Amino acid sequence: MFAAFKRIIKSGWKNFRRNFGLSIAVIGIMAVTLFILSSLLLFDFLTREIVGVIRDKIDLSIYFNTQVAEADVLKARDMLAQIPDIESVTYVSRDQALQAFKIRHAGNDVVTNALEELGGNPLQASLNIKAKSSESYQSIVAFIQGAPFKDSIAKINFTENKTVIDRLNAILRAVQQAGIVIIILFTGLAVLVSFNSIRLAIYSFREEINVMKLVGAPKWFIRGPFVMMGFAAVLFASLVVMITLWIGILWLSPRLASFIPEINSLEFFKQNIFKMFVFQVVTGFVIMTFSTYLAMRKYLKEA
Amino acid sequence: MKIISFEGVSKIYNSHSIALDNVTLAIEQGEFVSLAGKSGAGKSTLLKLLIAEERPTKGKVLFENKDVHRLPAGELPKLRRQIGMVFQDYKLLPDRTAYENVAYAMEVAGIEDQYVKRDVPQVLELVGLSNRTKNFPHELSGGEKQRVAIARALAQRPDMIVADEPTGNLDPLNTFEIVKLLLKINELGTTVLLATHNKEIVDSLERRVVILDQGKLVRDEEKGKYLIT
Repeated sequence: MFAAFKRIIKSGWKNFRRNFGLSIAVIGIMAVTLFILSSLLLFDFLTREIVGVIRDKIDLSIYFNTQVAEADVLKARDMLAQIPDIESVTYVSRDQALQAFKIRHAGNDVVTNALEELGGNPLQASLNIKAKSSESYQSIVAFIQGAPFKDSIAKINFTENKTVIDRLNAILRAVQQAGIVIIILFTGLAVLVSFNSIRLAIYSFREEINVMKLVGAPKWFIRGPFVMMGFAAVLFASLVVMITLWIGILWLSPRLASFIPEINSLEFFKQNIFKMFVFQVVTGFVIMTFSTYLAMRKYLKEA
Repeated sequence: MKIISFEGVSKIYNSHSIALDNVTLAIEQGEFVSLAGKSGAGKSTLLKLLIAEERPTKGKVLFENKDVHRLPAGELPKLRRQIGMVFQDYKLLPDRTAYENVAYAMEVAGIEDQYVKRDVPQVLELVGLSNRTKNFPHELSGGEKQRVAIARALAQRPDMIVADEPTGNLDPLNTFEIVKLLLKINELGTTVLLATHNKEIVDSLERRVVILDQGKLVRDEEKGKYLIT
């Protein structure tokens, strides 16, 4: 069995080298297919990351009147923390707010002088709320507006951004849904194109397949070298795609980071380079073997 | 001992195309039989039925007492290895050298590498191609290609060699070289069935001649001549 396997590998590799033109064409088709699949996966990852980053930026702040006691604000915080839709509630005291304000405006004489003239601490204590989902903010606001501490509230900043957040939610939903449709569509197209190309490649070998049959080769011994040829083509195609993606990410990464600094696509690529290569080889091999099997079935079926 | 029997075999493609009409024929182990007839007489169809490339409409084809059309699917390659086929158009693998074409026939039979390395040069020497082992089919003449095809058939140590118009594409000199080679193979004990429409070859052999005409077996003579009445 091992000897037969060795012969199949040797024969497949020989076929691959001796039909170089055809091998290059198959590598090209497979590379395009794998490039589309990998790009779609990267696109999906980046969309999810961008969505995550933007969602992370959405929050809800409640500002309390300056005369409200700290204990009451903390009571309100504990009450809010019980709501299942809320991920976290952060308390920012008046002193902390002042401290942060001073740091933010350090070196700005106008602001510093104005603050001194006012005397005391004019800033309000606040609760910063992060919801588990951006769609929950609306219901959280409704809860706050009916809460026992509603009269202590000076301002809820979410209401001001409501339209922007609603719009953003709609866009994010659309991008994700479109992403799924694009992935399914392009994956289907790529698989179809490579399947037909492999069928054509096998068609060009139909005479050889017939000769092999007439010489008395068992079906698996005929099929084996073609599967090996396909595997070699997939390996080369995956290498080509990885190099192309690397170059693409090197170009894209700094440009993307200038828009969204939280996303480091180059780092993601580096961390997942092996996984992506394995994904490509496995996916390519499955497509190739399936297509080869179907394409050869016709010629092997005939007596 | 009978190696092949055709028992009342007919092959009908449609009512206007009857390739074989009730042919009954037996060939003994070690015989050299010429299957003669004009083009379209049904010679190739008969050979295709023998290697189960086609199925008969009626009748049975037995090889070593086994009905070749009732063999399990997995047994068909084995049958084809027992019958070494030689074709008019050589049917060599174009991207393999002469050596590799012959070796392939042994590899499919699962013969170990050491025997392949030992036997392939010997068989190629037998057919006079020791100096062409590394050449690809497109680098060989018609006669040389046919010798490679015969070497490939021999390498499997078949019980029988079946040659379908092996000289059809060759000049007279190469034609007689190939026929001489088939005779030599037969002298070494292998049964040979040679299908040809070449009268000169049939007459010169002075062996058993079976003549087909319009799908019917019209003559079967020991040491016969190519005659159609």
